[in-house]
Amino acid sequence: MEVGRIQQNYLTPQRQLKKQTNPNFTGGAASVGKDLIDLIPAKKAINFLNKFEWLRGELGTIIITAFGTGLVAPLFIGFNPFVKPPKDATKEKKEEVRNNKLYTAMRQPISAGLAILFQVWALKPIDKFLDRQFNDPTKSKNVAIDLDQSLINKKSYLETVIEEEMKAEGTTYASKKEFKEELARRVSARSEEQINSVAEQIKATGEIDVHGRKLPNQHIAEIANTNIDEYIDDVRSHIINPEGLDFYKNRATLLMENEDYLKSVFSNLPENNLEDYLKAEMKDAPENVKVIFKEILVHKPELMESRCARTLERIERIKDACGEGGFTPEKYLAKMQSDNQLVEDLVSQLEGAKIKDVANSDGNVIKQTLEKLKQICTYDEGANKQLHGIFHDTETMQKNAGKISEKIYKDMAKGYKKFIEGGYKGFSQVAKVLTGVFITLPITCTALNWVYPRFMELFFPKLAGVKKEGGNK
Amino acid sequence: MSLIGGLSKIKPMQRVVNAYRKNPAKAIAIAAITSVAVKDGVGCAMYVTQSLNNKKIPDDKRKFVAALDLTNGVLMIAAQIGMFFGMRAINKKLFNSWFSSSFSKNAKKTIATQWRMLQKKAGKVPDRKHDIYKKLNKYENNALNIFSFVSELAAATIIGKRVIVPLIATPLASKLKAKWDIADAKKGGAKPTEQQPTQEEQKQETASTKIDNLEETNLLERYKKYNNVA
Repeated sequence: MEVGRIQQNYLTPQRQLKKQTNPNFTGGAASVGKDLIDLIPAKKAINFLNKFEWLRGELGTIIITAFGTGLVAPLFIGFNPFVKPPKDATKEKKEEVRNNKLYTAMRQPISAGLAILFQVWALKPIDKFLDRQFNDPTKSKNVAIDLDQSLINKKSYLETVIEEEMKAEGTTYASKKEFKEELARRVSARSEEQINSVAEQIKATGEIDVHGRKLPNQHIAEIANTNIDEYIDDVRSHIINPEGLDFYKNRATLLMENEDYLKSVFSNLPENNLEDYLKAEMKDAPENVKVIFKEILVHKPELMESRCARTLERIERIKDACGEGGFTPEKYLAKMQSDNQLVEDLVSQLEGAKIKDVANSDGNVIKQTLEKLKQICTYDEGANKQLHGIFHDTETMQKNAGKISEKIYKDMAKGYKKFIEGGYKGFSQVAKVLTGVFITLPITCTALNWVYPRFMELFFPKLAGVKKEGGNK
Repeated sequence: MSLIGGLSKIKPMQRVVNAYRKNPAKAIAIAAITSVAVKDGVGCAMYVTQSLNNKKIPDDKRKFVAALDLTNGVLMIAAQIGMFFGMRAINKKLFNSWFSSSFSKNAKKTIATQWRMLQKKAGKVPDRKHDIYKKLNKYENNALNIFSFVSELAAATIIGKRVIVPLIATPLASKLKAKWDIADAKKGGAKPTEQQPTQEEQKQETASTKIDNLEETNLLERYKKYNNVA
């Protein structure tokens, strides 16, 4: 009963492609897996792009704007074709207009430099200040509870706190690198500890107590429903669409009709020159089987062997799926449809488990919902082989109730972390914009008015002389 | 209650916070362009107020200089917002066309198959394709979000503000000036003609031409430079 497993090989990522509305803040190579990334053709370009992750936010806004001001604006001011002397202008007049343009153009890089100096410089202290306000329990009690990060701290705050602790310990580290590695290890462990602690809280009470303040249950209910939606997506990905059913049935028929031939070709593969061997075999293969060779030959030579083995494995699994009486296309189709129905039933159960009255849910409702979720996502391998056939090796559906329980509550704690962190990012950016507009922007403008004429007189006295002359008119 | 605490609880802030939770990528982008527009708006307002209240500028020029500052500011904000949303409309298509070899349906299918085969070869239980697609989508989304943010902001603050505005601001300012010259002349009772400009027009023309000769964001500064007002 391994049909579900076989079908996975042909599933198109249609569903996943649709799911792009709620991207994460971080999703670089580290969180995906370097080996998997290595298989992506444009990995170099994408990795280069990912290096600019730090630009997202107020910092990027300032840097990109400064780039335009400092490097692009001077060109368009200095060489603006619409600013030109009158047709009958004297040589001196032409020179004056040229100098005027250059003098004005030079204001832009100075302005950009000052913007970076004052505005970027201000961001780090703002971040540190806000970190303390939202993560330190003695201070965070004043902020909105849905932004209070004192239960699961922000990584940068943990780094600051743990770094202080490590320095206080007085331990000597062989190198800065070793210190940093130890710091990273402790930060990761503390973060995990905090997540587990919140998971335990939710498991025990269905609620989240943030140092004496209770997070409104509505938020916890929303997190639970969001998580259930993700589980539904995972489960639903095992449903085979009508085109898929048709394709798998035909493919299974092709494999079974040519079972002996395929076994003879793929069972005794040469150790070397497999690609040439397969190409040669393809020439003599029955016309309808050539497609299987073509599918194998598109892969890299080092993967062709396992692809051949996989084909033979599929034949066994198709036979296994059809059970006694052997393979018939109709029987195989019926089996896939039966699997689909089972998955649909699970999706209905998961939909039914979602909290309906989110606004008025209490701790008990949340606890019951999560317990029900645990029941739905656990199956008995012996009693329900069909489910095992479809879902084995997945994280959302498991035979081990303890594991699934741990996953559900941990997912809740992670959902809570994402919830507060997402909101905090909004607050932080608004705070930075307000600081920029009311504090650093006026400082930058004042500094520019002071620096600009002096800078020009010092480094470009010829150009600055234009201004003086103009002023003496 | 602390200032930060109070700020975190007010309704507008809660709306921002919720927007960040629902769609962070969109919220970050909107916040960025808002930041740029607000800063330019404040800068523009400062220049206009400065111009209107600067007694060193002759009365007949004050409104002119302030109005040009205002035009420049409005133009800058409009160009940036326009370019931002223009880029926003096409950046996904651009990204998809440039990286289709990596993120099209077929490309992902091939990558997932190769990955599973490599895992099998290494004696590991291969990942489910669904989980591989999830990882690839996450990687793609992250790259797309960075690309979108940088391209939208670059289109707004580099192309819109620093290329388009300077190019159209100067001719626009000249047209505006000419219009006001005529209006001023009418007020004074004399009908200006193109062939024989009035003395006042000539004076204004001279001042404005000088102003136009400098591409200065703050027109008050421009004015000062050529009228010895500073």
